[in-house]
Amino acid sequence: METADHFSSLQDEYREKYGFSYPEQSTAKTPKGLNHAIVAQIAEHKNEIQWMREFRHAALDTFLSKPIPKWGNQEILQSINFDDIHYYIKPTDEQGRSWAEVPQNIKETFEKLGIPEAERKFLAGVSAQYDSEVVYHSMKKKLEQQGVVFLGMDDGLREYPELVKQHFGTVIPPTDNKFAALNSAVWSGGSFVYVPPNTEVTVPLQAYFRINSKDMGQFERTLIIADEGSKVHYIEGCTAPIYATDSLHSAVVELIAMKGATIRYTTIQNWSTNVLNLVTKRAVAHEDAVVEWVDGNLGSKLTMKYPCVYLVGERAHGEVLSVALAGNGQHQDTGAKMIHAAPNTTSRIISKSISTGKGRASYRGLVKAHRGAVGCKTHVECDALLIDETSRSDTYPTMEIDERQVQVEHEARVSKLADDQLFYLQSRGIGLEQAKLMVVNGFIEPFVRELPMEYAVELNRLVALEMEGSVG
Amino acid sequence: MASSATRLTDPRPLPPRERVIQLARITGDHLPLVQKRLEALDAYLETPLPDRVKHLWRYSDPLVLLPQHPFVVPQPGPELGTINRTPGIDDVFLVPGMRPVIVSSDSGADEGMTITPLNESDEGIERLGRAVPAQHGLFEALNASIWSCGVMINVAKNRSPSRVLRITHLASLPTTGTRVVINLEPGAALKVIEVHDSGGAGISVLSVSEQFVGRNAELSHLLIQTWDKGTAGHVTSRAVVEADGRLNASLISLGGAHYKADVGAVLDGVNAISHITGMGLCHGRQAMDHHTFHDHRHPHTESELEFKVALTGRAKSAYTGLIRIGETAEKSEAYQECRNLLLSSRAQTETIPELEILTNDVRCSHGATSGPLDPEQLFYLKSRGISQAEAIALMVRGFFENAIIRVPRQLRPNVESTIDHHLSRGGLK
Repeated sequence: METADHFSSLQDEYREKYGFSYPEQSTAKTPKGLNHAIVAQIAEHKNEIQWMREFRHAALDTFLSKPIPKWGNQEILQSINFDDIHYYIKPTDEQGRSWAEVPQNIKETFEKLGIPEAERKFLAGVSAQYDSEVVYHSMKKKLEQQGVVFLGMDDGLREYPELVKQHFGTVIPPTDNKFAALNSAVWSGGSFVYVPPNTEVTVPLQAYFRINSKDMGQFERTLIIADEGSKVHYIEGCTAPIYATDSLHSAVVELIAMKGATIRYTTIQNWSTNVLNLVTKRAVAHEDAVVEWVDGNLGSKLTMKYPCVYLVGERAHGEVLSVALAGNGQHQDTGAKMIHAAPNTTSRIISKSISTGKGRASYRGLVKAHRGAVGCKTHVECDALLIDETSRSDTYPTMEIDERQVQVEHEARVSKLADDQLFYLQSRGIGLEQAKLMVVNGFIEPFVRELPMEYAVELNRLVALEMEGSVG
Repeated sequence: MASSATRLTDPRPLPPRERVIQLARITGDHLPLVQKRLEALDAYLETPLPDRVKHLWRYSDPLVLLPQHPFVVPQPGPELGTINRTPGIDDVFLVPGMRPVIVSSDSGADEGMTITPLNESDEGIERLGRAVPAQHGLFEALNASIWSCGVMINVAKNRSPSRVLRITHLASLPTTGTRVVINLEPGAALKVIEVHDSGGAGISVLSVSEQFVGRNAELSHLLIQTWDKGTAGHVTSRAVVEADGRLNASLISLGGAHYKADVGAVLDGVNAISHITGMGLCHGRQAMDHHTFHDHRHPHTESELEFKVALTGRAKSAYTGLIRIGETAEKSEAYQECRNLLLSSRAQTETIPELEILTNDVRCSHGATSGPLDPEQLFYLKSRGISQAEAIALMVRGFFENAIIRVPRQLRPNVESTIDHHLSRGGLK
């Protein structure tokens, strides 16, 4: 097949798949802007318990008092008009209990999103988020038998108020940053997961997120608690249709890995290129716990996301594996944070970025070793690939070391596509564009192989799309 | 002026404009220099205090480094005592409020090098602020308005003086403001050492050094800071390297209580090269904050940077280093390495090596490490009958070897004994 044709058919498929939107059918929507009345209205809609209402109002005060961060992409950050955003949209009144009960138009949206048939069969549970509310939620019997809780955050709050109250906002308090405060004030949707002690969830839990209303913000909130000795893999994927004006997405994700627990959190972010994706993700890893963030950033106009692990128990391990793809006009400002607060904790960060056209990929990270955290080891590796003359790559790592008995290593490399590799492939009869794609795919391979197969396939397709036009 | 002065609400020292004019009158400045001072004063008033949120100032408080009374007009102190000449070395002493004291053999001029008090050199005044403008930052703006002793060095085209030039900044007044301009004409070469010496509690140093490395010229520049205990200060050094020019810079930071240095090179022509090697040794409660900057603006430029810090006691070190490869600097290569050696459990280091790459056809990488002495190496030395203390001192000296070998031969024994002195003050010898 001609490669150009291959690309253009992919492009069509993509438009068909993601570049659409059905007319809004929201039955409840708060007016634009943000104040205590709006927050009260959101809480009223959800008929929330008192402590959460107080939590929201306090968070709103924090949000209003905090300045916009002074670092990062100032041009975009300073241009956010918080008064021009709907903070809550509820698509349907009833929460679908089974696939059959989900309203037809929303189903069609998911159809186009292409949740594969095979995937549906194997899915342990799907928490599909349409606008701000979980509309569809199914859970396999096995999970129920195991005692695993996998609910929308709103349901989680209703059904497990004590468990939620105990942990909600403990990893990321609303005072953490302006956008975490915003989310805490207006959050809606997201997932609540609790895995009981010594339980292994063998299939990944998955949730789909989707923005489908013009100028609306999406503020989902996810809390995952893995009790002692348990194991869980959660997958979050995002796609959004294309709109003319900017949308704000500001999620908060909190993970708690108790003694000996393992959590892997996989994200493929593919917001349309008008979305501002300003996300706070953080985990706490107790003794012997393992937390892994697998983070792919492909879409959005600006993403600021630095998944973090607080290693608070001895021998805890944290890992971040991330890929950022910055196409024309995109700024992927991503990275990772590892806080070593206990002895013999270990961490590893591997970050790969690709900038094409006028894209800009920035790695921004922090490694901190507190005093007393003896025997820590941490290794950070950043690789950046620049495809075009106009592409840009930045590396802003920070290492704060307050303890002697630690081993800290950081390395970063920036390079273009290697001419000799391209030449070799071309000498084997492979076209230039195909050769470039092969080199790029090889570059991100360590990331792709950590993904479930269907995600890996989708990622490779998206990279191919992004690379299109990079061929002179 | 009053209006702009009242606008500021931060606790920085505010100057009466007349004082700057008075200072200029005492030092006998020509009108263009007086104008530069007043422009810099305006820049100082317009520049906000550095933002502590931003990483360059996260680890140092600008108010600790700023002199308390920078606008007191310095009174000329007593003459310097007898100065011993060191063979093979030309000396310049910069004493705030005084004309620079130049101890030079006649051969200096024969070899194409001219040394002139900065405020008496038209070329020096013309170049002043071209590499480090007042807009560079608050400290640079303040320095440009109140410096009270400066020197201009010029090396003529294709000349390379055999003698080493040593410029000693003596921190003798509560506000020590000094300024250096070095110009190498095309094809020239020079070895120069700037020593920041003396000082004490209550003394603040504000110093700026600008170096212009012409086409195909080569400058070796060593910046040694050996302040006495209690000294605080901010030193800025920038080289502008033209096509085929080369800068070999090294930094040795040993003394003082609070020290912030901003060192860098602009690679301003094709094939310009800059190599910077640095070392810092901090003990007690010393705080050092180093920033390096390699700015690639033209194709085929090359930079290399190696920076090492060893810490004992409760010392703190921050290092931020930026490599920027601009859109027009294709085929450039840059490397940066930073190593921290932690010798006590209460020492703290912060390391931020940064890259900003704006074009694709480049090769750029950096590495950073922090950790203790290698226990295996220590064990090996001890197994050879070397005491623990001596073994540690040996390993620390080995750690700094790359920086020390950059010191010109004539001065190496001197520098080595200074480093030994600081090692023993840090309990490492």
